[in-house]
Amino acid sequence: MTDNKEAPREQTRSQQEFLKAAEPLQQLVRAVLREERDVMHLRRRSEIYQKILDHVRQRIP
Amino acid sequence: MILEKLVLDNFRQFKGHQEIVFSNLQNRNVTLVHAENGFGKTALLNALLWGFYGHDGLTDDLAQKERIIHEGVAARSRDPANTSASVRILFKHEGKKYTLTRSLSLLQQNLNSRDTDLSLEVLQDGETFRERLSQQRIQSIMPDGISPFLFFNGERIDHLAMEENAPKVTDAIKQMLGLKLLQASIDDLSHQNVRGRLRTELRDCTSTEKAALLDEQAEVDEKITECTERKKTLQANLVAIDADLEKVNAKLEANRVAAELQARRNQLEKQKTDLGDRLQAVTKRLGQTISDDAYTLFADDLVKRGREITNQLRAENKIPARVLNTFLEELLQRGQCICARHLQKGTPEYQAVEQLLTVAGDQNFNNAVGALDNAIGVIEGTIQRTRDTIQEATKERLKIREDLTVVEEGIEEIHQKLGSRDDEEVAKLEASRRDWQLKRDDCIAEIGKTDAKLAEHTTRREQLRQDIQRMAENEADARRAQRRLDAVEESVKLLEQLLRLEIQDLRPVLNKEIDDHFKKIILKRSMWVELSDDFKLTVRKKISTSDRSESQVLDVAPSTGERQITSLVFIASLVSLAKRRADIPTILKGLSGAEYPMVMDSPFGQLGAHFREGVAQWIPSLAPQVVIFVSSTQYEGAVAEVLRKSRRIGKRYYLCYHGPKLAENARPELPLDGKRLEQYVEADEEQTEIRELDV
Repeated sequence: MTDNKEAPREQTRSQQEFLKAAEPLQQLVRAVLREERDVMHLRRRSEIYQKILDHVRQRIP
Repeated sequence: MILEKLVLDNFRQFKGHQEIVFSNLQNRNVTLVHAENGFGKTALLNALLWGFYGHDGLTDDLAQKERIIHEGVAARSRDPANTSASVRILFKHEGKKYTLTRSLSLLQQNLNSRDTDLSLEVLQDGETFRERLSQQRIQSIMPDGISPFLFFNGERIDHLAMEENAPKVTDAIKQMLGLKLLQASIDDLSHQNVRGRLRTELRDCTSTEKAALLDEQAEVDEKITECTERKKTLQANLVAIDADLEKVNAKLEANRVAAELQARRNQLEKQKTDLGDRLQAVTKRLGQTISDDAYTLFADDLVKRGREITNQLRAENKIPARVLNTFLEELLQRGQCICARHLQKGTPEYQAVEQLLTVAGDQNFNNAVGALDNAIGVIEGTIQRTRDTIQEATKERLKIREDLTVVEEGIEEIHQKLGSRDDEEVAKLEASRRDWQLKRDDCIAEIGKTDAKLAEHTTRREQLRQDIQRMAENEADARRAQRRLDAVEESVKLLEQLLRLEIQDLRPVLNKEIDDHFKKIILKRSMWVELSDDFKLTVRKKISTSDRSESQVLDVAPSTGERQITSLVFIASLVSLAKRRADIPTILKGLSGAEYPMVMDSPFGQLGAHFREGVAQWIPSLAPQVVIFVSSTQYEGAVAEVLRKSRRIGKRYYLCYHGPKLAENARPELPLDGKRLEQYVEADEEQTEIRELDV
């Protein structure tokens, strides 16, 4: 989501809000966004639910 | 994406093999297609949409969507498996060339016309590859959610600028500017298959009491979904009702008997909207004053008493302290007064200085007295201001209400007059208008009711969530299930907040873009379009007040033409921002700029002559590639002149219709550049031919 390699740029309000969240939550949200990126435009994306559940189980032990 | 070529084979009335090559030149980026109403403009627009998205992409105004193959060809076929229609689209996207082919055999059409064959080839570095997941690839290049903003009937886009369409406007922003990712994540995390399953897991390992709360939460969730869906349907209904109401109004305006009264009613309706907006603004201001400062009115006695006490203390010279106690203590400690007398304990001089300590104070005390004076002064000022503001606002509200009553009576009077006219058509139109108006009122009331229910369920849901979270659990499994569920809930909340902030931060950027585009068409500097805080596209104007030293900003109730321009400007602004998306700060990584074409059927359709010229001047700069379908009546005059002078037309075609009957208002010949071209051929079988013209 946020790219550390980029030249320092003033953070947007959403970036600031995201960084305020707890680390496990940040990780979970990043993982969900990564999964969604390829399939978000599809009408049927049944596999995404299992993938999200796997991320939740893996990150919240 | 830049369109290169469209090839049709037996698609709808386009019999046989026909094609259009689009202009891909940057400074001649307009492809113009002349076509009379009923000659196939809608079908041509739908050919592109069908090519990209299949049956789901077809627009609502296309009749008999399941019949894709040319009717005559289909009727004569003896071999349904080998009779077909196809659309081939060649386009460029991010340096690669694509060829998309969608086809449908008659056999398939008879069984299920949605079941089409699609292939997508990509040419890169001199080699051609076939995309394995063609539809998925197309969706990633141009998601179907954005197609209504890129391929549209110009006469039907005015709804975007209607007040109740804020959800559509935010949806357009999400779709076009890459925020769909956040929305899809929110939707999927909240889905029954994720949140519901985690809740079931929790329920299975938890106490009866908590299980009951979880069950209730699931029920409330369902109710929220129902209400959200209901609201969407109602909003769509409202748009449809408004369109019908608009049609009736237009007929009354065109009717000789009713025209004058209808014009007066339009004015009154406009006034009513303005007054309603003003009433809302004053009420909001009043509410704000009451919530921020009205407490001061209740503190009036207390403040007066405070002022009396301080005045009394001041009169008694007790405040502020004239002598600082630190100074007196220093004298006593030093044993010498400033008048050089010795101060020894027990002497009258020592006692006199010691006595002074009872009326002395320190610097902090004096500062506090100053601050108290200031605070009392501020509160007194606020009390006066609050009282004045509340009185003024209440007076203004009463005045607006009175004016509204007068306007409403005027509207009612017109209704009575028109409804009781002897002219049968007018009476019928008026009755129909009344019906639509009542339906509209019902619909708005229903939306309000649904909103209230939604708010109620949302509050209950949050309450349940907190109650569930608070309930102590001993079992490790239950605690873990609870943590997971909480994490999902928190993720949804976080993503919703991120989406809200992203959209809010885009609003000023969009507003700047909208303003720039709008000023190119409407040269009245006193008028502008704004995307409001609550994402309504509002036309505003500045008017001078009676004392002429100040001006007031008013929301304008836009005409259909103004709404069409506003919507067009909004879409153009989105297209333009989408192109430079990479430069706009965002939390989402990897959002690149994307070029899109705009394909418009009848963009000048509902515009008055005064707007057509401005739109014609501006339309080539709307998007990197612009395709326009236009009828001869919309084109002739100012539009033709402006487009010709602009030298932006790179390709030009016209549709020639063959059929038994010419549509009403359609001309058999196309008057173009001093020539008359045949565009209607009488024939038994219907078909449309695409003919190229010199630029």
